[in-house]
Amino acid sequence: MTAKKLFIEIGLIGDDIIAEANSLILKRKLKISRNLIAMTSAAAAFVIIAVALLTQVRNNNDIPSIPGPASAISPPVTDVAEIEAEIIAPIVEPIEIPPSTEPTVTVSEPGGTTANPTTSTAQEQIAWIPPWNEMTVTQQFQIISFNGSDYHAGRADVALSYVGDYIGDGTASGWDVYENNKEYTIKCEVFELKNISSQAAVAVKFEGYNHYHTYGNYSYQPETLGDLIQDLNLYDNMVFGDISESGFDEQMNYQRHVYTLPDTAVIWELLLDDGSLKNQLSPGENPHMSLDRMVVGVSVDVLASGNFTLSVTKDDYLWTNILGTQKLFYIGKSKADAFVDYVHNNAVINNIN
Amino acid sequence: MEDELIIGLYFSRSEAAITETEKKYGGYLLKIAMNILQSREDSEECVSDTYLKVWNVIPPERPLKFLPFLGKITRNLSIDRYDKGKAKKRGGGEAALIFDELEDCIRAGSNIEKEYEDGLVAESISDFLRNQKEENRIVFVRRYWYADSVFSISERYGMSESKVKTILFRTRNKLKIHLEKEGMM
Repeated sequence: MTAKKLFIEIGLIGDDIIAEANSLILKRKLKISRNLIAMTSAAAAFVIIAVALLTQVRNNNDIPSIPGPASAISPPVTDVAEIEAEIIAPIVEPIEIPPSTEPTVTVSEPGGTTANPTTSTAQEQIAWIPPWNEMTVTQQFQIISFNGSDYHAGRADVALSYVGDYIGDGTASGWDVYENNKEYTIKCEVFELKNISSQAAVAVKFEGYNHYHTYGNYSYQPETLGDLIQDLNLYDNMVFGDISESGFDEQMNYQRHVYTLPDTAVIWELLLDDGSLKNQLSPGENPHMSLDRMVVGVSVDVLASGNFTLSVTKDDYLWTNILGTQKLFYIGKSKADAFVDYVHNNAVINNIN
Repeated sequence: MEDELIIGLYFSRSEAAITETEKKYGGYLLKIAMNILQSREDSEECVSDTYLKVWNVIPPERPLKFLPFLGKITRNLSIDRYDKGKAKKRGGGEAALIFDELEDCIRAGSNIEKEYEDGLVAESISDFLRNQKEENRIVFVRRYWYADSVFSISERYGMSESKVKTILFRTRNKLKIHLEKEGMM
């Protein structure tokens, strides 16, 4: 252990400790503010009493009264974060209309207060979460438990043509943040997705609903790039989109260049040809710290998401968030350079912003 | 703007996420980088790298505590840059002093270079810090996490510099004993 190594380890201490050390000065300010308020209040009370007594004396002596001083005590400023409560437009995904039969949903009543979605301060802070009864079923039940693992919801329904054999039953829980985190549970049937490992992702049909939804296993990590490709049948399922590179210019303006390759099949040859590359990450590990050189947008319809990326990082890794969790493969400098050069030399720049 | 809303902007891939992050935390991050790098130019680059990194990792990451999440990224990027860069060549600034001080926590003459699972030592240090008096814990974290100078800590909390140094000295010694007990030294 060296001093520098210790410094790096200290960098990984608990978030609560880091946040506490940042906010102490605010606590002190608050203390000062409270003291000030107490003193100001006492002074104001004294003046009011004095004026009242004086007025009484004056009234008793038929002397015209004078108006008392206005009490103008401002509330303490504690933390910008605490006093700001701006509202942005809610992110609402298309709503699935449930069939006429009511699903069997169990509700646990935790008791306590109820937040009103239209009026409360809590609502201002979480306005982007739709009310429970306006959510899709996958928004309500974002995680299902199946075979000892948690599977997380994709963004949309999965087509019936992708749904394979029934493999078991699962349960899902959801919480209504506007009702003091009231817990709901619902049963579901779990199916294989055709040609996809059920260790990685499954199709789910909730009791009382007709549609199927893709749920991905967040603890799934392939051993190699080849495993990832095979487990998710990416040869058939992955579609490449545009490629982007981004950064900040000298004036700190965010710049993003978007490229289109004439034939995206070359990405298989340049980045994905070596299936033996080992995955460098374990489930739940901290984000890889390197920046991206170039990012390829990818969509995988069967996973009901079009928001994945394959990134070539500045330290020569291939990073991806396919399935919603990060995976990392070391491709080396020559391969990373070859890809970036190929894009610069062969792609069409279709957008600079 | 609330952290949850800023994180929501990252999830909706709105570039306003970066603007809002910069508005709310730009100064905080710049200070962390400046403390380590002692160069405004290097620090600003580090902070802009932080924004880009955050842009790349959210989603899929959804940090529970945004401020330490950002701070850790800036701190790591700053240490990387410190290793490669001018600050080290210039004599190291605050970081070099901090490394000197942290030598107190390392057992003299020990050549044992143990490998620990990621985060295990940090977890042990967290446990140690949670068992310290609040004032001592915060002073320690300001010095060895935020890399604040002793003077800056003394100003921040209205203490004398000698009091800050005493707290740091005692806490380092306690940490050394703790790490030895845990078999990490």
